[in-house]
Amino acid sequence: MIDLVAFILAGGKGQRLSALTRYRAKPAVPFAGAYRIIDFTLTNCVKSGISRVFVLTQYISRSLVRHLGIGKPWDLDRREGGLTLLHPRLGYKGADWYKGTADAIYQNISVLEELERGNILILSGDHVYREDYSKFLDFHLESGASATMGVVCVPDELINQCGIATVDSDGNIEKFEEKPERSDSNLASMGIYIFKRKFLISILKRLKKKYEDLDFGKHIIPHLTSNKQLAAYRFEGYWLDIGTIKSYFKASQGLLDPRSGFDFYSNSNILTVPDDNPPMALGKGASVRNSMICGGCFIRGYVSSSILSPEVEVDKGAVVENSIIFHRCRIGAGARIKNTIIDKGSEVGEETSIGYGDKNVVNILQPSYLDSGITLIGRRTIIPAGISVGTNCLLAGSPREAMIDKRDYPDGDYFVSEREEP
Amino acid sequence: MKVISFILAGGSGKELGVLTRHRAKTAIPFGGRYRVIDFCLSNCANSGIKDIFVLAQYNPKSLINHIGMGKPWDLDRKTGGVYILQPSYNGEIAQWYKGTGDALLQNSDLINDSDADYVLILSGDQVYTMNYQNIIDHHIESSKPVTIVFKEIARSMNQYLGMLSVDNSGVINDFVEKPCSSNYKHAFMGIYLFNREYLIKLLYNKPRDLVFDLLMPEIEDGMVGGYEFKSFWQDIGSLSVYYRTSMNLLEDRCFLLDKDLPMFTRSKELAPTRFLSDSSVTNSILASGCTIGGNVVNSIIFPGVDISEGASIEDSIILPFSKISKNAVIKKAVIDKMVKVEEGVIIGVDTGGSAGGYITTVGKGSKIKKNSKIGKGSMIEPVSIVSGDLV
Repeated sequence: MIDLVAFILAGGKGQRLSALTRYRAKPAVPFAGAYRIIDFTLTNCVKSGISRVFVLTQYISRSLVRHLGIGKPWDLDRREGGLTLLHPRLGYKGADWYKGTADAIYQNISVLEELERGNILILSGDHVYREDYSKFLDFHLESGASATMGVVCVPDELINQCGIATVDSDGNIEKFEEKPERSDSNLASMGIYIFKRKFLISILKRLKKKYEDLDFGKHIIPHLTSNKQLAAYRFEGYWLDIGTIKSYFKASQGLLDPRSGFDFYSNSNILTVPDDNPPMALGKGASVRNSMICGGCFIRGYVSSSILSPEVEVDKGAVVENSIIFHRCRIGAGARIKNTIIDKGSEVGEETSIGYGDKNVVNILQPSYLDSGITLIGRRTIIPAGISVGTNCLLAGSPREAMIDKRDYPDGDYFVSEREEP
Repeated sequence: MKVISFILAGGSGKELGVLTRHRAKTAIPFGGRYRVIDFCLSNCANSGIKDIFVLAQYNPKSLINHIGMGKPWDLDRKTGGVYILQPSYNGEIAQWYKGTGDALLQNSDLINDSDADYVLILSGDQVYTMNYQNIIDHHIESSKPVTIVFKEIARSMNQYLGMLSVDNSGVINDFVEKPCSSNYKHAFMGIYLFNREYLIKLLYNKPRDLVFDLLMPEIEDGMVGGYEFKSFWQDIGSLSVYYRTSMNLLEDRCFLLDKDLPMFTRSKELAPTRFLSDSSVTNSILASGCTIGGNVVNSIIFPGVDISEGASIEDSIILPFSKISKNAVIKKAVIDKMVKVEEGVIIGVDTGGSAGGYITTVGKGSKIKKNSKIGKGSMIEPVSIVSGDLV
């Protein structure tokens, strides 16, 4: 059995995902129709032979907790090991939130101390990729370093959004910069690490004394780099960190291109909670092109270049183009939807049009999140019939006030009902 | 009040042709993602019945594989759950199940040892969704020791089913098996509910067949009450019935969508189905994990099927993981699992003459080589390799 115990950091708020993370943690955001983002990392863990996985949660964790359950879909419902959720909690000395990524691990240091295995894998719950972590471990053991960081090549335009590592000829990281303006290296930290367990315990204890908000990227990695204790392992292939609505949308659209997208079809399956829906049905007037459609959908309209999660209904004459529709949404007859993400359980009234307009008009409420020509409809929002909603709009009802005002919404407009906890 | 259930799943289903060469009749894929036995198992799970014995005999491998320890139906329980009972060797002779009654008799120790109040006997080869609690409630009210379930059917179906006469008080007073002509309009659905103690006594007579040796004498004695079922029900007895029942789903699949009686099955976790740029699909049912590049009309496509660009599927049923290559044409056919249809193949060609049955069937794992033609009504045995024309 592989000598790795995984800790998946899944507490992030993912604020830039706007309404998608209003009621759920980022790792629980649906992706590629049938999955949630964390499924990719969990699948990697179990396919690499890891049988003990801890998931650290914090920000609105309910949907994540419900999704993960006891880990049955990943065969992590085990007699020994298996899946354990670690929430922030009251302790002997009082209550504490996780104040940084490494602080989250530090607050569970007793878990680390009780483990018998030698190596700890720190993962992020919001990445999309396939990887066999046993190769990562082999590299780590061979390098002899106290810790190894996963790095991946990124295009130049992303350098100023990533932690960039410069690697010397021995494979050790000699320089690490957070979001530099420019760099000679294009190797970005993936935020995933393997540590020798005892080393991790000691460094967490040591640095926690200095930094209250102990963070891997901000504190631990620079410390290890300056001490030449960190090796770099290069990941190859498809890897994605979904941070913004724009990158979420682009990544989703990328799935539809068999050449550049993530290959779901020829490789082994990504594991998720089983879909017990009946198979999808396409009615007599249906037309579906260049799309991914899940079980339980019922389509009588026209769908192109879109991703539909389970149980979506597209009524007669409706047109769905370049859009991502989450579970159980209903698109009324004759509605027209383009460049739109619609969160779970929403309804679009008959003959309503959404997402047509000038993409240069950014959202009034969230100009930095909704600026790329995508309209976002929040969870369980009911859009009245016969209205017209432009591009870069944000419409989010609340579970109690699902119906939004019946009027036209020009480009960049918004309707957000008072925030209520779910 | 506790109920144990026996599901009869040992039949050979010869009339289903190539579909049952390698699998039990009850393990035939149905409805785009299910197997026929899923209906009984899901009904049991939805009715709160947690002790289920599946009596298997003919080609049980696929059935055993599918049911496993019952996880998809939440039947992987600490006590109870689902068990598959196969005939066994008792030290002297191999004890094949010689009939439905004999299958029950050979497992009568389970009935004797159980602490259940009632025994429910089901047929695993039927498609319907039902809450069995309704039968149990009716049974308790009727105070008869035996209740069977019947359904009103079209007269034209009489010759395929066991027909019943039901009196005004709901007691069954006659039974005729597959009559050529009969005035009875109620068909027996192969579902029985017994008081357990009473069934134990009936098994003393060593019945071979449940209907003839056990049920008929009880009907004569007026001991059998009837419960009428009014929703969709179909026994999958032959290839043409299988085909027709499947195709009817394209018109009406309401019974698959009942939120109170959801269907469960064992399935591989496959990605969403991908439609390519030139695909055209109308009036069809499709499962997950497919890649659709061609045209699909009035068809049912199971998981993991690949239909390449330019291929055309019409009025057909394609079972899991079959690959249909470019420009292949398939009409009114049932293509079993993992069949490879190469480029330019035509299946179900109209040859003008009378070609036996009209549904073309291709057995599991067959390979149809490039540009071959297979005539309407042909039957390709499993794992065949066909090249050239077969009309």
